[in-house]
Amino acid sequence: MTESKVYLLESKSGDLVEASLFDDIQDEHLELWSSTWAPLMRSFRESLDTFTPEDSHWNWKDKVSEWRNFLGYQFYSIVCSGELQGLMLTTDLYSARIQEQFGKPIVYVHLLSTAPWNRPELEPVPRYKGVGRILILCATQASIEIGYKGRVGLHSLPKAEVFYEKKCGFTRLGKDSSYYNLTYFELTQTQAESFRRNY
Amino acid sequence: MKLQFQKDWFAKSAEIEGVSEVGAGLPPNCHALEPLAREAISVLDTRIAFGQFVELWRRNTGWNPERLACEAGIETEEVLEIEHDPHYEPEPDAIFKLARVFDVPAQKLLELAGLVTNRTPQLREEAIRFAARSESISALTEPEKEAFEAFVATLNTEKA
Amino acid sequence: MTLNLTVKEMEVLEELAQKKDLSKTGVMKLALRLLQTIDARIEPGKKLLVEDESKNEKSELVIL
Repeated sequence: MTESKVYLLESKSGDLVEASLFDDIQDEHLELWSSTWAPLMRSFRESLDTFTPEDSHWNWKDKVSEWRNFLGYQFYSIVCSGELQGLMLTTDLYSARIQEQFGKPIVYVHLLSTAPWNRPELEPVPRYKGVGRILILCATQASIEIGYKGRVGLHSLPKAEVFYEKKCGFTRLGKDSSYYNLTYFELTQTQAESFRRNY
Repeated sequence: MKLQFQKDWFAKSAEIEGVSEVGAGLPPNCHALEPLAREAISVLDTRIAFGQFVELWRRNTGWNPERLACEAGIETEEVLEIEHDPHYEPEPDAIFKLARVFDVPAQKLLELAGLVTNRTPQLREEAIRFAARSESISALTEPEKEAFEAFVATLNTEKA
Repeated sequence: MTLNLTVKEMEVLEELAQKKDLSKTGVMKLALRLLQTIDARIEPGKKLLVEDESKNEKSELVIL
């Protein structure tokens, strides 16, 4: 497992806080998920008064145990101040759909999630900003390292479509009726390069 | 995989991200992470609808099971099993052949038959509604005909 | 590790490398990942279906 130094923006102080990005999800990360994220998500699901997050039912423990031993699947986690801030599962077995790169392999983001306390729908003032773009940066990095030149694809949850299109520069390919009608997005090599330059 | 980016990259990136929902993956209320038992029940639900759909399509066309089997190029026994036994798992090959005869998307029939993961939203709900509204006796009644035609329209809904 | 490929296999490898915009090593790595995933997900005797949605056609890939 490799650890990379990254930074999150703490909303309250406006300071950049050091965090760690890991290219794996280990037992200690799952323990954090289980003891912090999962109970919060459960309480949102069970309460009739509060809003239910779109990914409240995701079970990361099951996903890790299902895919951990496969070369074609990769896990990533972000920890800051001893707390789990973000998780991602990717695969490098899928192909691009955009015409200009059709059929070329991409890193496909299967699941991407930020901690409940970082989400505008659950917290009036989300604790940290930047988790989403760091995980996408990570996906482009993995794509480059494996020879896919930064190409990334994903199906966005409905409320995150604006984030992927406007704040990450993905191309929107429309609703995918073969995948729960979620909107599919893709990043070309050129778009990945722009993203990595923070444009 | 190692990331080596300067601190100011992250500062600007966080500013760009701002306050955003960022989730990607399985949609709300997706049952893909539910235990296997619940998945098995779900397959039976849609398979009942699948069997009834096959039977109603056949009766609506005025064919007996043998004729349908002949037109599709499958065994008569397969048609009978599909129509009457929701525990019977049809061959994918048979589904494709039936889809061609019915002129409906094979993918949707594969989902109904429980051979692939249900990924078409509301298909399961539509299938159960259809099964509840239809009765499998001789000629189609007007309500059955209506239910049948509405369900065919659902199966043929184009991709966006 | 040295790979001993036939002329025909080498041709296919080069063709795929060009088509997929990958190095030959990249193609071999992708093949390995795919095989591991398929092997684990498909029980012996079961078939992998490839579907052409526009034509409602399918072809089979039999995995032994």
